[in-house]
Amino acid sequence: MQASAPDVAHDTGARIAIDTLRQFETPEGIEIALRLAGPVPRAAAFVIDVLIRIGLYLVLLQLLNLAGVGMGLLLLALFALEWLYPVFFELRSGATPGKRAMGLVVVHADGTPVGASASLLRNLLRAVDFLPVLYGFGLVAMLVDRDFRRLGDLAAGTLVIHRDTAVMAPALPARPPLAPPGPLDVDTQQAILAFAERGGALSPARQAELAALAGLSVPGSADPAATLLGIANWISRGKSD
Amino acid sequence: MDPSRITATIRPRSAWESIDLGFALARTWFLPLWLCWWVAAAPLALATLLPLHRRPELWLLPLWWCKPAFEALPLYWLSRALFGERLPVATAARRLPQALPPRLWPQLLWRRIGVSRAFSMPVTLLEAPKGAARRARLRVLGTSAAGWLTIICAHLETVLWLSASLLLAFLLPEGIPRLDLAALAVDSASMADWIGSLLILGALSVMAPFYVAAGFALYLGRRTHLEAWDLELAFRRGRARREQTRRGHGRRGAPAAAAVLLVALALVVPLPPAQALTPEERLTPEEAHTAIDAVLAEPDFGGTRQEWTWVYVGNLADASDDDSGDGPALPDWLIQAVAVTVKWLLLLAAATALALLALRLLRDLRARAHRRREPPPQQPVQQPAQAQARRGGTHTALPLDIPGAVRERLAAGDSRGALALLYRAQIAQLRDAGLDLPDSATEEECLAAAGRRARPEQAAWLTRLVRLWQGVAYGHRRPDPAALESLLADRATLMQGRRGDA
Repeated sequence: MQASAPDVAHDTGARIAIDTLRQFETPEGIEIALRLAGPVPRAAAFVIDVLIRIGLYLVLLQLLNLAGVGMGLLLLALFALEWLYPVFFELRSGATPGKRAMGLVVVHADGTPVGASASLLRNLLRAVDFLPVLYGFGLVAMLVDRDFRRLGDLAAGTLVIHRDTAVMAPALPARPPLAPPGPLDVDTQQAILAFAERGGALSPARQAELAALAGLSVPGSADPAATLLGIANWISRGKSD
Repeated sequence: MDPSRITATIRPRSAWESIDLGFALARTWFLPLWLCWWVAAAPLALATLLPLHRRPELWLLPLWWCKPAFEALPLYWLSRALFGERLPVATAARRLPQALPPRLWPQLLWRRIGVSRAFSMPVTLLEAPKGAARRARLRVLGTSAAGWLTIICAHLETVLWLSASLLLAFLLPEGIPRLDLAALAVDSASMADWIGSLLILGALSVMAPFYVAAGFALYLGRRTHLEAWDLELAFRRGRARREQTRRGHGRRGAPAAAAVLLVALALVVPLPPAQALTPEERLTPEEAHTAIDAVLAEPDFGGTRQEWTWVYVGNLADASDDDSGDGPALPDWLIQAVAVTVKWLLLLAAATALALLALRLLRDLRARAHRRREPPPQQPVQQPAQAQARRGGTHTALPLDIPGAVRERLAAGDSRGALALLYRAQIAQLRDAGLDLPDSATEEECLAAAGRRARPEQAAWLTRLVRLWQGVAYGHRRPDPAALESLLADRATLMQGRRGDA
């Protein structure tokens, strides 16, 4: 492993790792990663929306009890529901109820909240994506496009992404802080913090294995896993004094 | 399995995101995965065709039932490609027996009915636990998303199939017997039924790579979650980097690559100052502040800029009414008069502008027509000399006695015209000699063409001429009369030599 380590690092650096992230840098230099959503969660969201609309139609059918004008009202309601249901919700919160249930959200290609024109365009083009039947073109477009965009998304310049949930900073297991044996690069520091945060989900054997892999030993601390936790505390809070 | 060679980003993902990663993997490697699927599917399809050639829907049934067997090879290929080993499909096909071990049989028998196949296949085939161990493993790893994946992918297959059939039915041109959609569904052994069955098989094959990859990615996602593969990778890389750095420090005059890496590390890795800098290099807080301020003053870190926009501030007329409510208001007729005058003035201005525009256009058009009718006066400065030579067609545009004409112009003080004439004459001569020089050829292109075809002394002469001409044309340098004279003299010798050859 040690002999081949530089080659491997070079190898992985040269290749572009496959992922579903699209990264943007804001003018302030902050990198934002959008986690693109593919056909499967989007299909599930669509089905949920269809079920909701069917429920609404069943309620609206009662309009037929009104003689004459009821039919007209029903048709107007059908029109509004079919064409404007997604637009309404996307403009309100970025996601229809189905998308929200699946944790998805519609954004512009640069990550900003979707606007009225883009939302209208992408939902009007559902008519094209629906062709020849049941979103056949939309499905093929999503399978082919590297950002999982259907035709409406391509036209409107929008993306459907997984919504980032607000993460509470998990508490690190409290240990006396230990200074790392040498300077650590950012990736390793982040990995050590993640190890401390997620360690509880790992088996003790795996924890020990990972800690041994990290190869950080501090004089006076024998257990590698405990050492890592101490270093994590040192990174997050600084020295003990 | 060496996680450090992995070709996809490993990070903790939700189940749905893992499925999306699978779709991204399948898109990246669609062709080999699709071919791998057919490696197993095509022989079975052909073999069952013979006994079942009258019943297409029965022909599809064994194909559908054996889907786990077809998916084994794509899974085998994918599990290697993910760790950087991309087998050619032919090699993968030869390893088919290896990819279809006996432990696959239950998948084809009683386990065929379950919905979490995509997820349990990687566990069964790649980890190979048995009996109770397998059940325990699946219980630990299992996720409900696997079932949803199968259900949704089955529907996506249907969507693909229905879309393909309808597209075919819609797009069949008139004259060809129409595809009977009803027969497609009901009538067996008709042409339409066969087409329908083939479309179903096609839809199954297209979705299969995505389904397999999504299941595999789901499996990877679960293992990443449970075993923190991403942390393992980060630790390994960090350790390798530290060792690299240490090695670079230890050896004076280390190889250049290590030095480069060190520089890269120094740029990327923020080292705590205590370890990174020797005491002499350390800055006092005041020095650091000035240094930081100098960096922050750079334009990269922002600046100020003034922007003017219109902002609605409310109806000022009301406000002014309030202010000068007692002042005399303008009489209505005056306001009317001003408004009407301004309106007509604006209209007049617009009409004038239009008229001017039309005049301008007309003049341009007439000038263009004019230019087309008669050739322009000779202006060697503004047009490529070759173009003029070509426009003359034959030598009629060139004077017969070139040296005489050149000397005439020189005497008149027109050294630019003289050189242009000489150059044109030379280009015309090259063309006569069979050189294909387009009008757009630059001097260098002419030189290169001449260098290939002409005799060396001719080419050398042409080079001298071109340098002189370029100096005049682009450098606005007056040519040395002596150099020009020697050019003319050498030309005469060259011409004589040519005549002598002929």
